[in-house]
Amino acid sequence: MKALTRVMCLSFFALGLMTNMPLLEAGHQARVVVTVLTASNEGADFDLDNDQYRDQLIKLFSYSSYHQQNQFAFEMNKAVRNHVELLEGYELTVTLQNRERDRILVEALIRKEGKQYVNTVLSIMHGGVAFLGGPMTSEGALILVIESA
Amino acid sequence: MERDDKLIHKLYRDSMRREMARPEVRAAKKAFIRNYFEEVKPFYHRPAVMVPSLALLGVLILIFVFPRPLGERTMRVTEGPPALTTDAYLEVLDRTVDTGVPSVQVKRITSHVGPTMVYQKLYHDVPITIVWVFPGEVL
Repeated sequence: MKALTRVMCLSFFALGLMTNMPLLEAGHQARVVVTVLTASNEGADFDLDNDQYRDQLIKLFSYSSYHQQNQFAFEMNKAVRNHVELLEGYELTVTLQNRERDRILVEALIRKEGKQYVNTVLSIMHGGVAFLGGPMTSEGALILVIESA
Repeated sequence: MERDDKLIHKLYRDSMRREMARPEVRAAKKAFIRNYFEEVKPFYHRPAVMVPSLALLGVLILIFVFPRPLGERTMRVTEGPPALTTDAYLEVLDRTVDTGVPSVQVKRITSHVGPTMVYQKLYHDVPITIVWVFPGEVL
């Protein structure tokens, strides 16, 4: 009976290991959501999907008006560049450099007409949010909300 | 005569009752029952069933509690609200407070168009990281 119990325990352990084998490869994949905003002092409109961002923007910046222009969800694989057009010629490239436990290392590059506006590497905790901005558009300052989802 | 029988009967009964009520006698009775009339435990109390069941429970926890990594090598544009819920966000804030480590750390920053600035502002007593570039400006 003891031998049977041992065999069954080992079988369940092996089954659990197999069904969770992709976890061992988790260091190569991550999901990042980028919300594209423009902020200005013209008007007092808030045009955002996520109220959490609204509260943060009020606390963090001094603009009076915020507009959500777009949102991108990147299913990222390590070292694979993900490229999107933002607005008015600005382009964003995000690359997963690494993933360790509950943090990801992401390179974010904003370019326009061949010029690097911002090139940064961020270490973001899972669920963490970073604000990346400054480039100007006709609708105000460009702000990217980068979130490790 | 009949009255004597009743009296004797009562004496025996009282004596037996007192004797049987003694703690050591009660303990001996229980031990006897335990030794000779062992209680049959339910089948799921047997190790041969209990151990695999617990192992199966552990496997189910591994499968359903831990998140599975994403397998798609795709990028898509979403129209709906972001995946981060308020509860999840507050959880991040709690973890940040607990560990004292900011949820975001800037490892590198460069720009070809102007100076950059990395700063943090407190939001609910938690530092939020902001990366800013000032195109065309000279500090």
